[in-house]
Amino acid sequence: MTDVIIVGAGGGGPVVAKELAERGIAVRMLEAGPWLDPSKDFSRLEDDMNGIVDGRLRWGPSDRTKPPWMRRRDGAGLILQAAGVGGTTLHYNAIAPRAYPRSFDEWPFPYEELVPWYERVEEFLPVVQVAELSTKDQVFADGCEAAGLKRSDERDCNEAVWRPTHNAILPIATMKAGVPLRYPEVDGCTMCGHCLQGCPHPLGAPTQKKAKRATNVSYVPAAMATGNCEIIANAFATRIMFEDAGGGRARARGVAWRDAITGDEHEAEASVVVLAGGSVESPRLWLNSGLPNATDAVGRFFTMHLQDLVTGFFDRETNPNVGQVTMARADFPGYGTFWAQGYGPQAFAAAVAGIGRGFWDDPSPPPYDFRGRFYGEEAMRTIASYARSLTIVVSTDDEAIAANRITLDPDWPADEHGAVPLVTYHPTEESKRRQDWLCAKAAGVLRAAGATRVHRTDPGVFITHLMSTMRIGSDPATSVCDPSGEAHQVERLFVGDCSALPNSLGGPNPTLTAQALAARTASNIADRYFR
Amino acid sequence: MADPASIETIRAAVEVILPGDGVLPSGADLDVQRHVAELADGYLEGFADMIAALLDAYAAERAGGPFKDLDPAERIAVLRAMASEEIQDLRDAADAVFVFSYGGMYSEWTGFDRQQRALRVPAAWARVGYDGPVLGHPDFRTGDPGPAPDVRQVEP
Repeated sequence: MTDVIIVGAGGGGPVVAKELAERGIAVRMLEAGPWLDPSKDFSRLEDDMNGIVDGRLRWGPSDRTKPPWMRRRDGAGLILQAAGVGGTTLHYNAIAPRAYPRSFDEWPFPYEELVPWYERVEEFLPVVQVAELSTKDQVFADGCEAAGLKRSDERDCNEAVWRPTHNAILPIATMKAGVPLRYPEVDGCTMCGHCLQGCPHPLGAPTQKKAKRATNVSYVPAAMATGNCEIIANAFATRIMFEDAGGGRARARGVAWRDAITGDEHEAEASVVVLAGGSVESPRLWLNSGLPNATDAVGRFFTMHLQDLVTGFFDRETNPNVGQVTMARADFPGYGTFWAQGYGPQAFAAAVAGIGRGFWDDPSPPPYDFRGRFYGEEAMRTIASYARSLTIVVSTDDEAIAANRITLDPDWPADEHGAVPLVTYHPTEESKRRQDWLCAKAAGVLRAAGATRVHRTDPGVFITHLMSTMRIGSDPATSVCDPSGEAHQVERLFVGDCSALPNSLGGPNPTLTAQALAARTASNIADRYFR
Repeated sequence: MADPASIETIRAAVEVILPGDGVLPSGADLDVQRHVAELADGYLEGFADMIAALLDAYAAERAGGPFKDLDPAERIAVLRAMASEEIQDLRDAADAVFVFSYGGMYSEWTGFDRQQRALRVPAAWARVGYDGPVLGHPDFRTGDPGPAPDVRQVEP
């Protein structure tokens, strides 16, 4: 019999899988999406890979002629999440910062307690501070210095600084003229610039040697190598099986799932179940299973990073298509963070002309020359400046409030996996104030770097970095899991992904912290149930 | 599948969003309206027809005619009104037209055959200075994007 079933093979599930399997515990991991081969399936093309409707890395079934899986939205705009073994790490930037220590005032244990788990994940992936910058990141760094920010190389961050990023990407490969850009002649990151489309490089490298350390090339191969981990792709969990544990509590005893290709239904028992399907699907699965929810805490306190994009236009080449997509960042504890963002022309066109609120010719108060979206010849001429632009992505310290939440939508037909999720998110005035502050600061960095014009996208509520809907905490009224990661109301049910994070970490990208917490939770599972 | 009349209506929107810039042709000439309609229907069956119906409904209210018969300035006014709606589903329709139009024009879509996995370099890439798929950038430090990419090879 399987000891542990993990629902979801994204950023967090494979960490739990590897940690448990290494201890001799038999793990089965279910993944709703496909199990892609980076060497065969990652074309590096933006629409083919990142298309939100039918891209390979979309949130939807592996058959791309079928629609994506439905999320209803109240106040929420576009939601960026990927299905498949590797989950959203397949298309993440691989920026791997730690949380701001000050954000731990909302955690049930101190920052120092997570540090050994950070170190464990950082060593394994590995997380490496970039040694050299590509052009776009050097422009960003020059702007930061000119704007008065000091450089830091520390992993812990307590004050405003800029940093060459700590990325979950192998060190830059030695690339010599005339030597083919393929493994084993090159070993490490080739600076191709395609991180967001899934990393297939170096060409010819075995899966576990691909440069960007998405979980499909890092934790998944390590878990499989133990011989104790089985992964079932295209397996969409539909129900947590449970029994009454008395006193209003339940005890998890397994998972039912549907084969997303054949439609066949399956179920299996396990001693422990770990939810790691992301901050939308984990609460959805809980609610669709009828698990106890006496305090109505499940799905609440949804946080994200209220992202925005600020783009500067320059008189010289910035090469936004060259290098790891992000190699420099700036941190502002109390407000959030922002970073240099490389990307392709499809994403760039959307950012400067396609998705913003308002239009370029609306009045735009300083420090922006224009904002929002546009059309026509003027828009096309501006997009043609792609190679002389630098976009900064702003990531806000988003307040956690109970009203922002995941529920089941009563007004939309259920799909083959049950009632569909409704994502409700309305930013607080304080979160919006922080976002505005960061955007103005980013505009200042761009101008200090020599930008002649600055645009703010102002995309409204653009959702990446989904967090906190199944958060850990001491009080069952405001958290789903206890500080160990086990559900307050359901024995033998743990949470192992970004949804367990108590808050938005102060703004830094959440994957590393979710992985450190998942490693700690796995250790707790082993100690409590498999000694 | 979207009604051909709906695709004609969406084409009228693409004509004003992507009219050409003196170097690039118009999005409509590159059939970007087909991309918009396919993705809309891929998201939700019937959505492309709904977008066209909404464009016509706004057009009727503003100018008394179907969207495709409006002059460019009136078409823009309709798109701006839809994009500024408070109701999410209405705004989604405008967002789809804008995002999928730009997505079709500036990605590989105009030159890529998904079934054959064959890529012809899109005109938009040369216009904006984008290499397309590359194996790496050995010259990343200099600002020189490096050697010419082998765009014939789409599969890594």
